[in-house]
Amino acid sequence: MEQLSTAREVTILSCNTCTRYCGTGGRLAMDHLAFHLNNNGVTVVGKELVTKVCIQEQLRGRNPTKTIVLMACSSGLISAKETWPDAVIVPTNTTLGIGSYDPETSSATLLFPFAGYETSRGAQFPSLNTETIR
Amino acid sequence: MIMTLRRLDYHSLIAFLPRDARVLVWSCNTCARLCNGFGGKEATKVLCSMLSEDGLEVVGGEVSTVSCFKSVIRKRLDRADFRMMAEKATHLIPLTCRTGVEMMRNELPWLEIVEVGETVGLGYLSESRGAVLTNSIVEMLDLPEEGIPLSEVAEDLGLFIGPFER
Repeated sequence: MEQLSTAREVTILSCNTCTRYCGTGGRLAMDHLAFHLNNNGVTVVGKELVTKVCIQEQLRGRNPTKTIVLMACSSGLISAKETWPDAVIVPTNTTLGIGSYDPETSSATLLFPFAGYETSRGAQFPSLNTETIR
Repeated sequence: MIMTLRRLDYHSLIAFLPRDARVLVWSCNTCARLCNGFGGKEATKVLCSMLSEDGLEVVGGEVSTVSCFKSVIRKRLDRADFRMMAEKATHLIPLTCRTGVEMMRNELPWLEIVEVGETVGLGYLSESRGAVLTNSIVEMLDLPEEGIPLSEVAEDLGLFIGPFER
């Protein structure tokens, strides 16, 4: 909310692939965030669900507001910055590394963490115990 | 998307495989394909043909949309034709990222996995710069915020990019 203090209107742009499996993107997470932003004085004028934000081509033809709330990974962030260099992009996520997804347990597992997140190797998202990665 | 380069050239791969190897190629059709065609349907078809032409027994080439889902390989194993191929094979060549390799190690433990890919991190597909690495899992790489084109990463690390070629 601090980063959105001067923004009257925002577009939420949510990636519907990896972040959806991590519980930090996709349609449900986007709707949830839109609800809370609207209730806290930020008007969400647009909600854009993108299959893969990291494929820049999939961002073309979209006209978000000057301020974009981005629910994607760090690569999606660079992709969005390259697409809309004048936009104010507020990322909601921290990218920890690379992992797998198990549909049977509906959880993603961090297998190959980036530097700084080594202690989260093996952590599951969304899991019952998410405190360890906050 | 997960960025994967290639460790070996085709001649090194052939030299590594025993002449009596029965080879199964498994490829991912998402990230690996977008990494300059390292994986995907076409890369799988071409590699299977090249191996066959060079006298190796190729038991099959399987392509999945993703390989980082635990269920994908399990579901394929429920299919009689795939199970037969997997049981007949001795060697598995994954044209996937490292996560895909991990899934195969768990689900197909009887196969010798020939790791031909080198996953270097996460990136995006830029319209102007092609595949670009933005987050590295390779310690020796120091990346600027805007990332480095995957072709340059390959050069820096002495790796190969794209599908196997003669």
